[in-house]
Amino acid sequence: MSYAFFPGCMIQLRLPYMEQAARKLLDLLDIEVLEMPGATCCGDPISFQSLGRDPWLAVAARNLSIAEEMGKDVLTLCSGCYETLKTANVKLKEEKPLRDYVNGVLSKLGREFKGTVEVKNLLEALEDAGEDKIEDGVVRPLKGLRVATHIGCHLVRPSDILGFDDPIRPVVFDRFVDLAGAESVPYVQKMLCCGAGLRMVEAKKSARLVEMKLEHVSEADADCIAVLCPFCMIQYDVTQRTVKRSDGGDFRIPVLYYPELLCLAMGVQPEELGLEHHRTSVESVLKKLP
Amino acid sequence: MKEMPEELDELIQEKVLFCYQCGACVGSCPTARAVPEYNPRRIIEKLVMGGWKDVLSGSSIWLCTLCHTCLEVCPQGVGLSRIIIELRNLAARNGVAPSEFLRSARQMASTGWTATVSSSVLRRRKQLGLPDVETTGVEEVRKTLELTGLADILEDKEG
Repeated sequence: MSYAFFPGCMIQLRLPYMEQAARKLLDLLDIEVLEMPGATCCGDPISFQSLGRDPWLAVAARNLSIAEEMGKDVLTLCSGCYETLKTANVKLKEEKPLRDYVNGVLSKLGREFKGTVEVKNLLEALEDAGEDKIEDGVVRPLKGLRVATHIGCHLVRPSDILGFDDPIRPVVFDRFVDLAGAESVPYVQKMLCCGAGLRMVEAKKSARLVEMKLEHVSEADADCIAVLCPFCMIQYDVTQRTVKRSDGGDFRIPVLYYPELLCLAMGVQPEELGLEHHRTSVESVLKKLP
Repeated sequence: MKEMPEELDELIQEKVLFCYQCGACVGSCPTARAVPEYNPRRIIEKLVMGGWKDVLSGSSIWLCTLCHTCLEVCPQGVGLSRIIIELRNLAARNGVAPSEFLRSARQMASTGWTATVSSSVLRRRKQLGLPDVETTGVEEVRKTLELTGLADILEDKEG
């Protein structure tokens, strides 16, 4: 299997260790990723979509046209990119007037949106690779590791466009955490947004959402949070350092990117993953590994 | 803006008027948890009661995280998060948008990416053995922003 690879700017330019772990995992599963020449920011579903929906769709469609030229489905790592690219793909395939407008713009760049490829998120690519294959590859199951999953809003909502898992009670991510031999634990307010979309205008209030999540995760006695999206990663891993418990103590809850967890379960050595770049230490998770 | 823009009138007739003020959007809203004075139901109420100018010029609509939970739980299918996006688009066209949103879009126009390109991260990428970051698309993105009118929105605020 091979994909046109779209890591997105947050991962490429802020959190390259996430890209490192994802590439390693995809390689272990014989999923080939091909670079997209001329790719840019997806279009950004928060800031850019808010300023203009049509420009947003046009930038997304331009990126999609690159994958179409390659004849490959797009594999996105960032949930924001997933929402943007999938929305453009679905809408432009369905709505001819919108497609005509966008193609009018793209024609000035010598490009065209044809609607010939699909957009997938990482879990969909893993589903396509086969859960059996992952199970076979897990040589060091993460036995006893209690994981609080945070799937991230833009992977499952808006569900009428994205059509992946359940928008309110998703289960796929938890199943994948269990596949790595760890235990996905229930916790209160599991679907609470990380607050990244509020950070630009109200950083302090957005940190309050991080604090609420950390409180609930800590009540559930989880060893770590697992995320899929770089915005959630920044909120929980980086912003965590600025929020304290109501009693003044630190949370110190490690936040892992799912491919990091699965790589560890598949026998990759921790030092191959750049785990030291996390701002909240993941040492306590490593100590728990079998 | 003296007259209600046609798009907004349509939006109110086709979507907003279906709201019966149950408050499911408020109960599911992350921003409402963190910002007590934020109430998405009130945004709809204001639109119904003719207070569209306040809504478009106010800061409320820019506090939504676009998590789209309200859209999923609304029994009337109002699709509040999509209405927020439409309202933001309208406000932006009329010169109202937070500087942070504009900065992010300008960043895209100048580098092709919304995240800042820093030399330390580029060095780290090299250390990790990751491929170079694409830079060749920026001209086409800039052109796309011009052709779709977004460049005007970015320029207006600069002047």
